[in-house]
Amino acid sequence: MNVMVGFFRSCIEWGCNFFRSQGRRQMLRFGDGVDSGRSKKIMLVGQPNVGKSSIFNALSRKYVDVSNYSGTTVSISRTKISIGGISGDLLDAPGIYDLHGRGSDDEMVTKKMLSEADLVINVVNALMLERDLRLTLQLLHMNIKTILVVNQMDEAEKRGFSVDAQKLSQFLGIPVIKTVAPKSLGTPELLTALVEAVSNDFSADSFSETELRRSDIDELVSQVTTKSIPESSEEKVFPDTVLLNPYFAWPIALLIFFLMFKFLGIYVAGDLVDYLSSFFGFTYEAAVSAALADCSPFIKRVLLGDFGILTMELKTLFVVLLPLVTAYNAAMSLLEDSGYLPRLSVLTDNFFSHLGLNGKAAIPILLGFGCSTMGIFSTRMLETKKDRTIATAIIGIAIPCAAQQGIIIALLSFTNSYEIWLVYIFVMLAVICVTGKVLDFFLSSKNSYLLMDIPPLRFPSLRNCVRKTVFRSVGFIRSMLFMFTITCLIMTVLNEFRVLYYIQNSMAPLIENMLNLPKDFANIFVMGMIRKDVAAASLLQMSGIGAQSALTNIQILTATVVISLFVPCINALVVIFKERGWREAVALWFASFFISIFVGWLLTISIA
Amino acid sequence: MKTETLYDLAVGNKAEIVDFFDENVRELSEKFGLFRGKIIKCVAKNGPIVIENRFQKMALGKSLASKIYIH
Ligand SMILES: Nc1nc2c(ncn2[C@@H]2O[C@H](COP(=O)(O)OP(=O)(O)O)[C@@H](O)[C@H]2O)c(=O)[nH]1
Ligand SMILES: [Mg+2]
Repeated sequence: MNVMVGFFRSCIEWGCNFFRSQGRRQMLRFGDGVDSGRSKKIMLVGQPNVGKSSIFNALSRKYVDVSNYSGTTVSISRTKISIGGISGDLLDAPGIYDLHGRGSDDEMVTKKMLSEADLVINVVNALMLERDLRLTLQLLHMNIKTILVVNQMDEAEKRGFSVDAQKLSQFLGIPVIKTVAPKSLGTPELLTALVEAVSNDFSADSFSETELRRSDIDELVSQVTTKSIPESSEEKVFPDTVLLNPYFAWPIALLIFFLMFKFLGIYVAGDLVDYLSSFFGFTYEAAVSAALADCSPFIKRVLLGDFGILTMELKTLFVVLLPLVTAYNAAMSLLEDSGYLPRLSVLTDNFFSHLGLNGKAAIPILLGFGCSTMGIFSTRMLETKKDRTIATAIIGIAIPCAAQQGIIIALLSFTNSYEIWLVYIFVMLAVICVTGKVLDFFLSSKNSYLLMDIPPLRFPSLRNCVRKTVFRSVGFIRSMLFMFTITCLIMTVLNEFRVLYYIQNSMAPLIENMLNLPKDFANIFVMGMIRKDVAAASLLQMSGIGAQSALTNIQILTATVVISLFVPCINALVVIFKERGWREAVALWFASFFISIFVGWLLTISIA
Repeated sequence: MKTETLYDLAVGNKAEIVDFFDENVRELSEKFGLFRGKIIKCVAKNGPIVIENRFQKMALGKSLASKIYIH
C-alpha cells in the first residue's frame, strides 16, 4: 500500500517537475507543508486582477505571469525570499472573492493554503475598496495575521482619489501600505512592514467582533478616502464606447487579428524565416558536416540525417519556430496587458453561448493559439466542469499553436491561392463549432452565467511584456529541445530498423486512398503523435521549401487540415491528463485522431 | 415591484439593485460587489450587458442579468 502511495507521489512529483522544468507556472509542491517548518509562509491574497502577481514579482526575482484580466494566475506559485534575515516562502495564489460561501474548487485550494499561512499580504485595489475590504475583514475575523496593501495608487490618484493609510491602519489595527506594484513604489515600505510582522508577534485579534455589516464598510471607505475632482468628469473613456459598441467592436477585433496575422504570418513566418534560413542554411550545414566527417555512419545519420538532431532539429527550432513563437508571445503579451481580452469575451459571448460556453472561454482559447498547454491550463479560469471540458476539447482538437501556425501559414502560402485559405479557415471553424455543439449536447447541464470584471484599458507595460515574452520563449525552447531530440531519435531508430517502412506500407491505404497523399505522410503521423509542430515542420520539408512543391494544392490543403486537427502533442496531453483526468485525455486523443482523418477524407472526396 | 430586470436597463441609464431571483444569483452578484441598494449604470449592451459600479466595470450575460431586479 505504502509502495503504491509512494509510487503515485513520485509520479505526481515527476509531473510537477516536468512543468517546472518548462519554466511555465510553478506548481504546488507536494509535502511542502511538512518539511518547511522553520521558514515563514507569506501568502498573497486578494480579489482577481488587483495586482497580487505584480507584488510577487516586485518582491522576488522570479517571474509569474501578470496580465490585465481576472484569472491570470491559476495555480499557486512560490519563491524563497529573505526578510530581514528570516527566510520565508512567498506564495502567489489565484484571486479569491470571498472566504465564505460555497466557492469553486480553486477557491477551496486557496482557503486551505490560507489556513497554513503565517502571514497574509492582502492586496486590494485602491479604487474598489468597498468590494475588496470585505475580504480583508473576513481575514481579520479569522484571526489571520494580515498586512494590507492598497495597490494601484497611481490609478486612484489619476481619478483624484487619495487614501488615508494611517486612518485605515488605525481602524483595522493592521499595517497598511500604499503601492504601485509595476513601478515597485511602496515595496521598500512593504518589506519593512514584513520584517516587523515576521519578527513581532502582533496578532489581529482586536477584530474578533462579529463581522462588520456592509454599510459599515461603505462608511469606513468614505472616511478614509477623499476625492478632489467632481464625480461627473471621470468616466469619459473613449476606447470603451467603441470596443463595447455592437457595431464597431467586430471590425476592430477583425482588424487587430488581421494585423497580428500580417505581422506574424507574413513578416515573421515569411520574410524573417526566409532570411534566417538562407543565412544559416548553407554555411551552417556545410560546417557541421565537415566537422563530423570522420564519425561512424550511424552517428552521422543520427546527427545529420533526415531526422538529424544537428540539422533538421536545430534548424527548425531556431530558424523557423523560435522567431515565430517569440513574435507570437510578444504580440499576445501586448494583448493580455492592454485589457483587451475581457472586451473580446464580451464580444464573443453570443457566439460561444451556442457552443455551450460563455464569452470567458475566449481567453483560454486565444491563449491556446499561443501554446495549447497554456490554453488548457488557463481553462481553470472558467467556472464549471462543462465549460472547462468543452474549452479543453476545442483547444486540444482544433486550435493550432503558434509553432504549428507558422508552418501552416508557410504551407498554405505555397498554394498561392486565396480559396485554399478560405477553405482551411472554414473547415477549422466548422470543426470548432461541431465539437462545441456535440459536447454541449452530451454534457447537457445548463450554461454557466457570464460574469466577469472588465478592467480598465491600459497602455501595455514594456517591461512586463518583455519579461513575459522572454520567460515564455525560453520555456518553449527548453521543453522543445528535449521533446524534439526525443522525436528525432525515435524517428531515426524507427527508420534504421525499417519500422517506418512498415508503418508507411500499412498505413498506405488510409493515406494514399482515403487522403490522396504520398506514403511518406505516415512519418508525419508518427511524429505528430509526439509533437505536432515537429510533424508540421517536416511536412513543410516534404513539400519542398523554395523548390517546386512536390504536392498539389489540394494535397497541401488536406495535409494541413489533417495535421492541424491531429492528436494533441505529448505536452498538451500531459496537461489534459492532469487537469481533466485520464478518461477525457484518452477520449480527446482518439477523438482528434479520428476527426483529423475523417475531415481530411471528407475534404478529399468533396473537392474531387 | 419585481418586473424590471438589469437586462432591461438602457445604455447610459442608472438604476438601483432591489432584489435577486434566488440565493445563487445573490451570492454570485455579491461576490462582484453588486448588493441590494447599489446604484449601477449601464455602459454597453452588446450581447452581455456591461455595467459600472463606481470604478468597477463588469459584464453580465443575459441569463444572469435578467435575474437581477432593479428599480
Ligand atoms: N496602473 C497600475 N496597474 C497595476 C498596478 N498593479 C498591477 N497593475 C496591473 O494590473 C493588472 C493585474 O495585475 P496582476 O498582478 O496580474 O493581478 P493579480 O490578478 O492580482 O495577480 C496587470 O495588467 C498589471 O500590470 C498598479 O499599481 N498600477
Ligand atoms: Mg495573478
